[in-house]
Amino acid sequence: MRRTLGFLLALIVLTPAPVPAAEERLVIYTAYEENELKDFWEQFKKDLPDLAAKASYIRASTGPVMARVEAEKANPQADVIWGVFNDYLTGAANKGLLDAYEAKESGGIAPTFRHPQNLWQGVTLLTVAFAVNQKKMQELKLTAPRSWEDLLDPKYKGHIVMSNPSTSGTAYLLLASHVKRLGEDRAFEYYDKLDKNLAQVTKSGGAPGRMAAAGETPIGIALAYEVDVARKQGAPIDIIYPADGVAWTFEGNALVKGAKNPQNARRFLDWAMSRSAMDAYVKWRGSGITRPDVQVTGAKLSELKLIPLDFVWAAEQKDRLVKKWLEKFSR
Amino acid sequence: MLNTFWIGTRSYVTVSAGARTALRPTPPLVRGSLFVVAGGIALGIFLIYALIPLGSFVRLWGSDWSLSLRHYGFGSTAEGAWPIWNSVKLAVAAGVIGTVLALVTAYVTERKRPPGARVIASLGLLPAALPGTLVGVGYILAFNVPPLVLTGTVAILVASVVFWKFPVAVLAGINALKQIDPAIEEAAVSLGAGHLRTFTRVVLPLLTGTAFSIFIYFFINGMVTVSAVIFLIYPGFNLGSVAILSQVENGYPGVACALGTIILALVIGSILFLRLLIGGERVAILKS
Repeated sequence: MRRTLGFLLALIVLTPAPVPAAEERLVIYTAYEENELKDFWEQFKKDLPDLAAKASYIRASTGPVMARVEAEKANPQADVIWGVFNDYLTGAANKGLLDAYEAKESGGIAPTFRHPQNLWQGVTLLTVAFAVNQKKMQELKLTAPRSWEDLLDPKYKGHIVMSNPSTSGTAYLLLASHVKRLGEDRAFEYYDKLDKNLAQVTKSGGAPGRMAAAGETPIGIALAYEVDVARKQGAPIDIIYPADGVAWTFEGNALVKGAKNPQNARRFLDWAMSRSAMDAYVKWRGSGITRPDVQVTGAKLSELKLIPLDFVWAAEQKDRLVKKWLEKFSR
Repeated sequence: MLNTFWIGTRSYVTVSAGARTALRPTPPLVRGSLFVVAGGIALGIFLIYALIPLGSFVRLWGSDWSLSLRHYGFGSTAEGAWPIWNSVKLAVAAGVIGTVLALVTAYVTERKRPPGARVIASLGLLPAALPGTLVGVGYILAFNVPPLVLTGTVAILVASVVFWKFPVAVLAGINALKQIDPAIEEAAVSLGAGHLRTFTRVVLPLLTGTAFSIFIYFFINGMVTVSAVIFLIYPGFNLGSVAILSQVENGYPGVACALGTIILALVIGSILFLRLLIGGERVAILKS
């Protein structure tokens, strides 16, 4: 009896869902975070209900998302990649995993934000900032740092947490940006001095921000967007953009080569670049979008001193710079 | 192989056809000190797990310790807590299929010993050496192209959990069989029962406890595994464990703890239920 029950149970869960015919679906792989994705998706459903009814997505971190796309190359499961870091998109383009598509209304975005052959196009921006816990700073009677140079002050010794460039995309972005800002020798001198003030170097790029939010450290170096999420939940935390240079990167979209539903995919890519989608991005990213002709909120990008990083160069230098960093600072 | 060399040739029969002598009881002093040591370890483990429900009920860990149920609203995710239901389906399927396969494999390699039994046993133990990421990406590479396209179905998830976690289950089955005196089966055969009848009517009833232990082992792994399945989930079929990871990355540790608490409750609840159903001391928790 018990065995029969087990078999029936197995049969129920194992019956595969019927697979609809071609162009009846739209499969999206995305690295946008759950919370913002929820709002973006609501907007998508509102704007294109017929397409949204056929669409489904998988959300994961950039690494696993792109590893999947590459592993599935022989028989692609995804149609569209949405909101993935541009350096990974460049890597995928070089491996021949993407097809060119120029989304409608993408004419206005700057050349920096698009692949020369339109194998991918950028939509949203991320910046690196200081996450400063007000409560902790008051206890320690410290004033908040305003620049990268401030962080070297001995009074912050043991109060700063940063992530490791060999495991965290955020930390590598920062390393490459410092090299761009100061030149390689002076950048490593800077890290030399900064190292003396660090309490901890974490593996995960999200950890310093989380630790600052929870009061485990007064200062964490983190993505401004992540700090904002903690702040909105009520953490006593400030976002401070360093005055002497803000590291930043952007996420983009692409059409997967060999996509099973290319028509739907192109329609989605048009939407993801549309004014309506940009308005949804603005709700979470403030001014962090690539289209110049959309009203934005929050700290204006033009008021920040953005470090002009060449992302292709940064991707090429990654192995070498990370290795050099590890030799000097791994502990 | 080392395993076989070490203990393979000796006999570990505890369930025998003959009579057995009673064990001498352990002296109270030894019992007492062992209790303190075991209790200390158990308390340490308990504290780690207790932090999960605690984290799900406080408003904001580290800065606002007031109690709140707001994380159970799952406002930071479009899928709510539904991925956990998918985890339950996966865990039950992996439990049933894995248990049957593991017991049959154990029985065939330990008792029937067909030519190549060693090879079957070795192959069954091989996945223990693989990291989950490798299993996940490997399954995509293998099952995303004909003849067997399984990507995008629950079958690939079940298969990955069953075969990745197979070694411990098979070993548990083999060990259980080693403890049963072959004389019992010989008696059945000499009374005229066939292979199948001996297996189902004589061996299986003696293995009920082991079977449920193996079931629970697969069930727990199906509920909590991340590394391999993160590559194999498909649109519309997210898993609870992966959802927890997303919430942590996302900056919502409270919501992650809430999801974790539900999974913890489901796992502990189902273990207690099974123990109640078939008798506590017969169901062991296997650990890889």
